[in-house]
Amino acid sequence: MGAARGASGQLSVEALQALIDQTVSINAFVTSDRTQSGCAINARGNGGEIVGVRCRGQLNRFDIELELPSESGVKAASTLGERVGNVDLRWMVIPHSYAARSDREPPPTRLDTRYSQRVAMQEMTFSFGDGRDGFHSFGTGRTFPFASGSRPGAVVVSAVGNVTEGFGKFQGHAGNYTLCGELTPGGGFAGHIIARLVDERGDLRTRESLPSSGAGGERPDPDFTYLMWLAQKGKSAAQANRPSMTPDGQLRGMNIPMELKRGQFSFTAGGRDGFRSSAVRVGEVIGLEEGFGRGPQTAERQDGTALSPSLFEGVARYSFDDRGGRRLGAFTTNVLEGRRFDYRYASAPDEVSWRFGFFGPILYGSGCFRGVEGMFYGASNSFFKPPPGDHVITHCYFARLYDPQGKFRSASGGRRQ
Amino acid sequence: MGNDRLADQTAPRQEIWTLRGHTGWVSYVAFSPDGATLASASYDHTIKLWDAHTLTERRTLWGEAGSVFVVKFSPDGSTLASGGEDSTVILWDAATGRQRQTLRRHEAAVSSLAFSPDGKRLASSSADRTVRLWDAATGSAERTLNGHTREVFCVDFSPDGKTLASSGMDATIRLWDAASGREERTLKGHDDGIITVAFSTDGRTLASGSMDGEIKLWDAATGRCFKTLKGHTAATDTVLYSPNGEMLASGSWDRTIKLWDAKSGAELCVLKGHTDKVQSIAFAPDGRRLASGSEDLSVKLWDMSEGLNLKEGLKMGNTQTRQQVSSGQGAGAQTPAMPDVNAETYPYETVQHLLDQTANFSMFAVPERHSPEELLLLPDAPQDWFGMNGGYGIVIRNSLQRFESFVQTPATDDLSVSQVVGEAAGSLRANWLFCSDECRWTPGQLPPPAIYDPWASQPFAMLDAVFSFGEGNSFRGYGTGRTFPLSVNGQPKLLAAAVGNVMEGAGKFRGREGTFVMTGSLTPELGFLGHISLRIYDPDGVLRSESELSGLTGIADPDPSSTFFVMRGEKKDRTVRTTFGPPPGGGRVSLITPSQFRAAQFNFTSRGGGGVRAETTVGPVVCKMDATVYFNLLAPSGTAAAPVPFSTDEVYRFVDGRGREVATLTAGVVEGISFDLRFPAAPGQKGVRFAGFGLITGGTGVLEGVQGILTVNSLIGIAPHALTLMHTLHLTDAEGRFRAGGSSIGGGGGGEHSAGGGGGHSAGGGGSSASSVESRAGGVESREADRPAQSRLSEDDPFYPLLQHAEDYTDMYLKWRRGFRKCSQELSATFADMFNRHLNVGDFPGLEIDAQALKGIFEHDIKPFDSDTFERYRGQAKGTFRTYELGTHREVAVADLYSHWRPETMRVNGRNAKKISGSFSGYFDPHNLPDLSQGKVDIIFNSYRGDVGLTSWVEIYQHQRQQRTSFAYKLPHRHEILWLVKDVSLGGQPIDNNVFMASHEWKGQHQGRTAYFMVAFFYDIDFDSCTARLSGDRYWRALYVEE
Repeated sequence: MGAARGASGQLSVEALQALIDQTVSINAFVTSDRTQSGCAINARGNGGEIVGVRCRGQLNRFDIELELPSESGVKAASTLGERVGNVDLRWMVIPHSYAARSDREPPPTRLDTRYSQRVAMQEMTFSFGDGRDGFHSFGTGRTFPFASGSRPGAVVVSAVGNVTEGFGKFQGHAGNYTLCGELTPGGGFAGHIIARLVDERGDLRTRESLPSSGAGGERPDPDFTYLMWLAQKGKSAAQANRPSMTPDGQLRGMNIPMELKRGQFSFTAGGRDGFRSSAVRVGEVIGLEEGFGRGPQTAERQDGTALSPSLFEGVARYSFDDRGGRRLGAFTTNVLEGRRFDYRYASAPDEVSWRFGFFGPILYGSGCFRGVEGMFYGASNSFFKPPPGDHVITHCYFARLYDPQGKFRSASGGRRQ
Repeated sequence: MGNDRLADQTAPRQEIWTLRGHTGWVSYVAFSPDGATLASASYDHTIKLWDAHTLTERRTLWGEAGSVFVVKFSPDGSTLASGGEDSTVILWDAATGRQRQTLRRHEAAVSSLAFSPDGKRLASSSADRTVRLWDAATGSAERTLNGHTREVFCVDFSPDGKTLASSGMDATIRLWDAASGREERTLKGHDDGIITVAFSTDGRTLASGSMDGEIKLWDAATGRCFKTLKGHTAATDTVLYSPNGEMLASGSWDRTIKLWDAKSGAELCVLKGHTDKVQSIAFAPDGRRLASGSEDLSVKLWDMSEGLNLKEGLKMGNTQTRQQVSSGQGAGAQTPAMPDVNAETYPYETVQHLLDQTANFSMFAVPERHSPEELLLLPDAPQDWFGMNGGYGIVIRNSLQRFESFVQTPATDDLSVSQVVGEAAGSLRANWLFCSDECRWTPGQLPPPAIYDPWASQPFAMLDAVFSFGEGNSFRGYGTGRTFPLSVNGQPKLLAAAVGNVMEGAGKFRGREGTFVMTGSLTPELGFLGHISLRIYDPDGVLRSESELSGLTGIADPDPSSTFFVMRGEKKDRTVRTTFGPPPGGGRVSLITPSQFRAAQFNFTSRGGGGVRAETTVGPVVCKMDATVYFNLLAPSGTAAAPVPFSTDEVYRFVDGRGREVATLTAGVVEGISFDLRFPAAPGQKGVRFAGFGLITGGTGVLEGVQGILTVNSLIGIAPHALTLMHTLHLTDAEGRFRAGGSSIGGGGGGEHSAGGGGGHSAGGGGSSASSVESRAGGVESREADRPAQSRLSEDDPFYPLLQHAEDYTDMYLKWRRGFRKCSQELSATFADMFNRHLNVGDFPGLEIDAQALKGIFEHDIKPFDSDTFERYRGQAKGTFRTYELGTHREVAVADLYSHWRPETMRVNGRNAKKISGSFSGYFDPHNLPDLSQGKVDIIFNSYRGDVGLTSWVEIYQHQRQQRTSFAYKLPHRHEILWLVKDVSLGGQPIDNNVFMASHEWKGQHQGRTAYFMVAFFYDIDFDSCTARLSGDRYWRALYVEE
């Protein structure tokens, strides 16, 4: 598309927003491939200790639909759809301070499910349909043991990955993804993945309606409910970013308010046309994000590249309102690990765009979220300039909530998982 | 992400220094021949060169690819050889770090290297089953030694260079003629792969270590194995002789390093500190230091010379552990001349008295009920979301409750605390701001922020802390702390501890110095729940109560899953000497101090006239403790702005009533601060007040496997070294294993006052388990099944009125107690005389009463709760009562009484309480009584409350309807009590006379069975004149036998 430029020659906010909203979003769920067994990678000559996992997972379509928040709370329905491909992964446990890189094999580090550990997704290949379309990737994440609702022997894991090379339809597409689910040394990873890929050429998207989701069977984590929503900048002055300064005048971070919105997207990989995705549909404003973020805190060189993404962290409160603006509930999250990759659009070569993924725990909630437990994660695209510059952004946010009573699950819409 | 940090805290610390930097397992360590450089190889594909004196990293060398398994210096130190996963041997210029040459012949990973003593040849072993010999100067391959049938793990040249030894997975050691390459001998004896082999310095002995953990010593000339050293519990990965040949060192997958006498093979010492497999060790050329590399990613240095006499160390149980130096103080710092810390500037007793002039507060912090999202770290900047509660810090809002935690007399199978949280008496406001590991004590400054990570062990600074106790009595504090994520029974629990200093006081705290230390857990709502000990130096007694404080009113236990042993420590007496241990390096010294800990009640209140005040009551010795304290003797005096850091290693040995050890616990302070202390009454006398915290690292006996936190809050004199210690052992105790029976009220519902209302008394009350409890009492073991740990008393309970009566009689009990205190001399003499003159009447011998001891007991404060005595009966017992005539001792009546004691001790209205029934017709369970109006059974309600001690209320239904009440004194023997019993009119008034029944009770053996003995006389007591006359003409003796 041709991007609209202002008098200064710079792209307008609307044009930049349109650029990032070309991003293809893939909501998928990985279930274990039952034809395989024994995913564990054992350390060589060290008593068989597990240092990683290598296995194939089955990629299923996964649709999440958030209801318009109402008196009954904030609820979503999710549908585990048909199998759309595979994911082949080799994850290695890495030391706390290890600077993981895709071009370097990490030192063997014993998996210890009693403690939170870092993992490098040393190899992570997504293949769709008949396997001709897909991408290779690399990333890092963390295990979170003893999280509520975890299956015996499993640890919650969340990670951010970056597309290192696409093939088939994905050739030349930059993108990143975030995942959250459970890792079992024997059975590998099972959980949700949100992938977002830049699609300036539009060859991953379709304007045609996608077929309905097929039956994908039982989700392995039925006690969890997944919420999905978007966040974008509103137009009011209150939505402006504000720097956070220390008492001695140093920049500490940035206060970044957002509007929360409903959103929808889906994809399929079946049939003659193979992989294709719908465009992101942005819905009603449903609440407010009050967020604080800060950039790299380590001495490690970070240049926003695939080999050296920039790190970020932050805290945010997500408040959800009903149609009348009445506050229904809120929860506060900490992003413990965020990874930012710089990108330049062909149609906006003078602007640096950021792709990023992130994850962290939900700390506490209020209102309808009182007592909430779970993980928060997401993947986003933006153009950012320090205040008073513009900030154009679309966040795709997810919450994986421990919800054995179905408090956050829609009564209708989507199959009960 | 926080594992490494947590591991830092939990690791037993015996090393003098830890080098961190590798991101993979450390596979090999080697000193340069001049001792100036230490090289370490790692699975992280690197070799690191460290300055062995400054212990700083000099250079990182990157190999070709893959893990590096071995690195060796040439004898002249000019060359460094490495080998590893990529099958190559790389020769490096040791001075520049430049790669000189890559030797490629092996077909699999290179496992080991050895330079010949003349430096001309290099041997390499490989997983390709070969040993290769190389020209070390040119890198040309000289020879391939074939013979091993599986991977070769290790090679070593004999000191004369003539023989090369190799060992491997085929469980053989092969000796080769180094010149010809001919295999000369094969040594067999290990049952598993031989990972390591090393010649002794004289070349006569060859040591080998195997995957089976054994070390074998071989005669190098004959190939005969002459000794097997056993001790490692996992594979021995590395063996090495010390340069002087006197010691053999071994490193193992069991995470330890052992030092052995090279001649005798005796184990000299175990070096603990690595938290994962030890892969390699190396002696410095002068033998003064040992380096070790481990899969815990660290290289550790151990001092082999500086005051470490191994045989001394062995005698002292290796309590002289070593400490990691924080920063800025080189290893080579000079150890100062040691002062005599036992010298007496003032007499020891004087200093002890001065130290005891401390107001001690034992408080329980209960989070106030706020929505966590309402709280802000930066209330002045609500739009700066950096200040969101939970993001970069936690807003602490606590009610400070009174707290009682009294350690019961330990027994082999029972170590418990009577623990009760009482009513609110103050509040705490503070902000905890998380920071990086580098953050330091900087009062008034925001630390560099770090985001809160519930899965990591994180340090934090405690800012804006305000402790308030009403009536303008408050103080501001500053402190630092750390979180500790633990897994308890498979569930996450985030513990937190902090230590702080009183920075500025108001009201009664104005101008006072003090320290506080807290340990507890973070609730899901991010509140702090746990214990705080506060000690204020109070020479003029403003904060110390002169009179006995009222007992607390228990509330529903806010944290049934934690038990706190709060104890008071001291030296046993002036003869106990404090000694200096081996200096840990870095200019620090170690002080070794034996002490003993007593059960204690640290009571405080803020109610009533006089405002906040505290009172300490000390009980029996329950444990002994050996502590090694590490600090910098040369540091400037500790101030509020810059306290002196310290750390400790501590071993607690809990002892039973006879002083026998029943369980041990090890812990150490990892974050401690100390401040200079001066005594106005003793100019020139030096002192220190200090406080800190650290993780509990182990236990034995009933404490095996415990997890938790130690806090210390102490004052000491220096020269003489007198102590007053207030330590808290915070144990995670989800099952209530360490709670004295029934010591908690209700479950959950933090902060909710129950006061005995609601719920049936039979219910367990939720929260704590109803697990079976074993106890040993008086040599007889009894098992008590399904004892509810928590109970309540409902209003329709037949015992409920008895509780109310006991409450109503509080003033009367206190009045009577005052009378006995006033008349202690006379009454103790009268009682002792009468009881002692009737020792030999009837069917059991009496127990003599010491008049002087009884006098002291009448005068003394109320004894702390003693569950052992309170629960002396368990279940059913039959008593035979025999009545005698005074003077003639003729038996005039005999009757049997069947008593049934409920095994559980309830906690109601701040009391420990027990239900009992008594009947002449048979046993009646107090939980299943017949209609009382039938007159079949009497009911008794025994209870203990801190202000009135042990009391009893009896409702008599058999025969004439009556009421009777008693209060009691605990006498010296176990289970020995003196009851003073008074009849009460049904209207609740005491019978209008001065007659008391004095009943002496104790426990013992009768005809091989556990029995309880009672002897009672009646006295008419006049408290005005302090006279006691026998009343009536009879007395009785009773013998109870458990059934």
